[in-house]
Amino acid sequence: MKRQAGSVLLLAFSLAAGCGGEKPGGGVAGAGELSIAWAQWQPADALDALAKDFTKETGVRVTVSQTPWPGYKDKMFVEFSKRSDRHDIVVGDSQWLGEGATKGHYLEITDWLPAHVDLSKISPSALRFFCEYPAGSGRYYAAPCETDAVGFAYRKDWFEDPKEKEAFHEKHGRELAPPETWDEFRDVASFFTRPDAKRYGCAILTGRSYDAATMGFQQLMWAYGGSYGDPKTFEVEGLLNSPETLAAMEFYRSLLAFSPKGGSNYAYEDCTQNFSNGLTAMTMNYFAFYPQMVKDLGEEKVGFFVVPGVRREDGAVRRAVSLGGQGFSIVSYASDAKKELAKRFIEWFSKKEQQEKWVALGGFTANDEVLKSAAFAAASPYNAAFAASLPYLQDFWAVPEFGELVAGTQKYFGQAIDGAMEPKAALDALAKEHEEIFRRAGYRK
Amino acid sequence: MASGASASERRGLSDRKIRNLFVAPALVLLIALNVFPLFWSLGLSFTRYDASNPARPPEYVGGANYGEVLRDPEVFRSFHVTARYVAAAVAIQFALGFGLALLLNRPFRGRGLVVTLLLVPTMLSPIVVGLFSKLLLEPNYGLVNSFLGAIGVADPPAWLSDPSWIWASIVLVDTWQWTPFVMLLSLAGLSAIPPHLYEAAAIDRASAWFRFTRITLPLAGPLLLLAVLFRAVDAFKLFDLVMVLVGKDQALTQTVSIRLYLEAFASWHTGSSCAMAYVVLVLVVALSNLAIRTLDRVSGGGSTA
Amino acid sequence: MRRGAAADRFAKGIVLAYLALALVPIVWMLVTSFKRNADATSLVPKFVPFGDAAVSFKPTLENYATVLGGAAGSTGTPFSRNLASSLVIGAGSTLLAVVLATLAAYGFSRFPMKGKKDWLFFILSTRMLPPLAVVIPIFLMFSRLGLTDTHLGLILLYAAFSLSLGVWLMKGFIDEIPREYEEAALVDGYTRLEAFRRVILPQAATGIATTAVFCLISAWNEFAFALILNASGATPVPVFIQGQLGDVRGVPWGELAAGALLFVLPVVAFTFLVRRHLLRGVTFGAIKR
Repeated sequence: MKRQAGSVLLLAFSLAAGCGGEKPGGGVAGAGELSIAWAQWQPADALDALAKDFTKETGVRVTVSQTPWPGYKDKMFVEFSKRSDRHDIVVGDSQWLGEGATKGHYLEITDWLPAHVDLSKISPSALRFFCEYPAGSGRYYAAPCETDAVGFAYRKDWFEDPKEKEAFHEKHGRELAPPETWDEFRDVASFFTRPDAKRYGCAILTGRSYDAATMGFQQLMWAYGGSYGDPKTFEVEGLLNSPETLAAMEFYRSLLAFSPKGGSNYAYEDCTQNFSNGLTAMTMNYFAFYPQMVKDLGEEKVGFFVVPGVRREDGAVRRAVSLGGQGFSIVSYASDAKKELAKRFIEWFSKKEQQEKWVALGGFTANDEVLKSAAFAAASPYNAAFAASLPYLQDFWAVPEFGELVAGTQKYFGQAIDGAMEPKAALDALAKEHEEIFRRAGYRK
Repeated sequence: MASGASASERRGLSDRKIRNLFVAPALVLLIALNVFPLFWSLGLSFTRYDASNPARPPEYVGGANYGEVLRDPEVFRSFHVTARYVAAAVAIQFALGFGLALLLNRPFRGRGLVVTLLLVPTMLSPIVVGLFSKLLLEPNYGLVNSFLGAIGVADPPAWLSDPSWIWASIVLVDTWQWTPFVMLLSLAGLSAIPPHLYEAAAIDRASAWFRFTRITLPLAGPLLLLAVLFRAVDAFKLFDLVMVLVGKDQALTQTVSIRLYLEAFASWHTGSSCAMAYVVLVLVVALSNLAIRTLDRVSGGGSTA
Repeated sequence: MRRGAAADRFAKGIVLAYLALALVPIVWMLVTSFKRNADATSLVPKFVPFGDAAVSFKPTLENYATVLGGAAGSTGTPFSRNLASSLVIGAGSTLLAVVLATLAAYGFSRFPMKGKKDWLFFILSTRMLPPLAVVIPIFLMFSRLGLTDTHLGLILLYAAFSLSLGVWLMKGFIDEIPREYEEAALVDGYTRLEAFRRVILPQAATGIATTAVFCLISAWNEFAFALILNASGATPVPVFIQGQLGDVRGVPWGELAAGALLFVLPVVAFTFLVRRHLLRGVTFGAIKR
């Protein structure tokens, strides 16, 4: 009796052990299933909701698996290294495009894409930054899914409070309103910083994880007149560690005085959290994170504005906005049948009808027509600011060595922001490291 | 090997066969999953290879990886950072653990329960320990800063983001988890000291200092040393706690294990990360040699008979 | 060593104070597990589970319900699924490790062997290996064999890691069983194998249980290999918890606390079960009180 019980237990156990992990749930028999991977955020929920229409039309069951941003890239590349077909489509970040393409993880869709998606409607920067690799080659490895840009959210209710308005006017002689320039931004931030009342002026992107600090700071670097380097000669020295960049870094650091404690290491989720919990008046983040905040706080309390700029001598304001966005990349290790399904999905998604539904669900379309439509501007409270940001979009280096380059900026910008390293020393070290990376890659002698 | 019946008369398998049958499976598993990978790793350490790019096979580059690793400032920094953490953490855990053992080295009701309760942190996963600590150390709403604010501290630090406090926080949490381990070993050492030595010293009116330095320390010493060596060897494994408390991207806390992880699974420098792993291995083998020899001496050599 | 009763009380007092302080994190997590997420991150710490004061909160069981229920987490699967994976992997690797370790320990204990000391040294040294040193080839091996993201993969791996602990612990326990018992059995005509089954195993039952507990705890808590090998499937709890910290909606502290406590409960229970052998366990069986 005991022996039998033992063997049954052992058998049951081995069965359980033999079970692999999870696979996408079974769909309609025979129609197939599609598995899409994305980061964990509201746009992925929106995609999930939209994909239900696809299932209704075609019977193909679509699963969207979400991984929180900090571990998303590592997890996907581990799957790629195993030639795993766990996911058929990966909505990869624009920065992975080079690596994904050159290492053969993404299916090349140069011939397929123009034939099945109306590229004339797609915004050129979207195509250039997260579909085409190498830049200008006309070869495609991803189809546009979501465009994005960095922007600011602010506590509309605080800004519209008459008492606050009066006090601000008294102090600064002008209206309390979303700032146009970084100097105005600093004024507003300092005005709202009241540690005793547990209120602070701003949460800015300074996080070490993934690319947060880089995406936040580079906007100031560009606005002040610095740059990452010469795109043709790959010269970095003197451009990245220029006096302008140094001035920008000093300014960025000065903003930390108006951030909550711990603000020197705020990643995307921290900037979201520390605004939604009522700790800050303004927060910097990618627009794709804003649907969550509107959900948390309510439309009446949250407003949005474009990233401020630097006022030049001629009076014009020089702005730079970090570009973001992801594209659908078909995993080259998926079966041929699955690749076909993936293409069907992408084609369906890119149609105007779906793009309009996508926008209504809170997604950020790459379709120019829809982007400029009145429907888009009215669809969500942040869309107007998003559309206004588009002319100022700028991007990081678009080369396969992106990962190494960003690891460098994260390391050195981070230490400069922290105060662990003197800003000048950090920028000098960064310039040297970037030049070394370019030398090793063969872009310069 | 005395036995009643002679070998030829005994039924069943011979002793030698049984011995081999019993020992083999364990050794096979160990060799398959511990030794074989080490050799493969050695081979890879002489190549340039990117495991996330399976299309391109490894390319032989001789000792180039080792040269790069030994010259890499990041690798150097990770060793430096790890060494400083070991020095601080082990010193504090030693002082606290041994102190606790001295206090506990007397009979009282409930001592067994107290010791077991004290040991709970040591048995927990560092991930869970890190989770608890992260909430406690949260600069705006964590319990620690709320408490500090309440007792009048003007500006409690941002424990996990301020460069001046990050390592202090990690050492603090690590100490919370591992002091009981040192305490347990110290207690074992102390309780093994024969009481008659102390009685003889008392009769001779020896001072407390004399009793401590001439009886307590020398006799409890080996176990203490063992505790210190175990903790030192474990330091190279510091990975889980850092991942939870500050993440892998904070330059100041990139310990040896974190750097290995980054080289291998973020940058995919498979070849050179194998080389780095080997350098670490050599160091750990040297340290553990010391630990094992001490273990031998402490247990009277009987356990390896 | 004669000490005054006052000194004793003083010592006891300090120890109890340390114990109280040391238990604060665990108690705080327990309290947090009964709070809604908003209360857990409130700027005024709430620790009173009743009333209306600023420091009061309304306790709730919803975290436990969510955690055991089914909402997908950082691994794309619900916590209950990750807990089940931890259970399967923990139990499986422990079973394998204990069986192999007991057999091997008996072999080492009772029979002479050429180079026995070296073999035992080798087994112990595998315990000292920093896991990250072998992770790359194991990753490559498992990828090729299709063992990643499976329960079986980690079961084999953890069993191999637990073997050194297991062999040393069991050898210690078996060494303590007087040889006379077996020899009596052999004289009575039993074979070696029968003697092993009838004499050694029952006598070593405590040892087996203790070894099993330490192997289980070591597998239960493992993180690095689980992160690298099983991030996409058969994912155990530690990886789940670490992933949750990047949650864009804000770390769900209430739920995480509930999950962490459920995860930690077996370990705490087992610690108490083997409290007599804690010293032996944490020093790989070489030190017995």
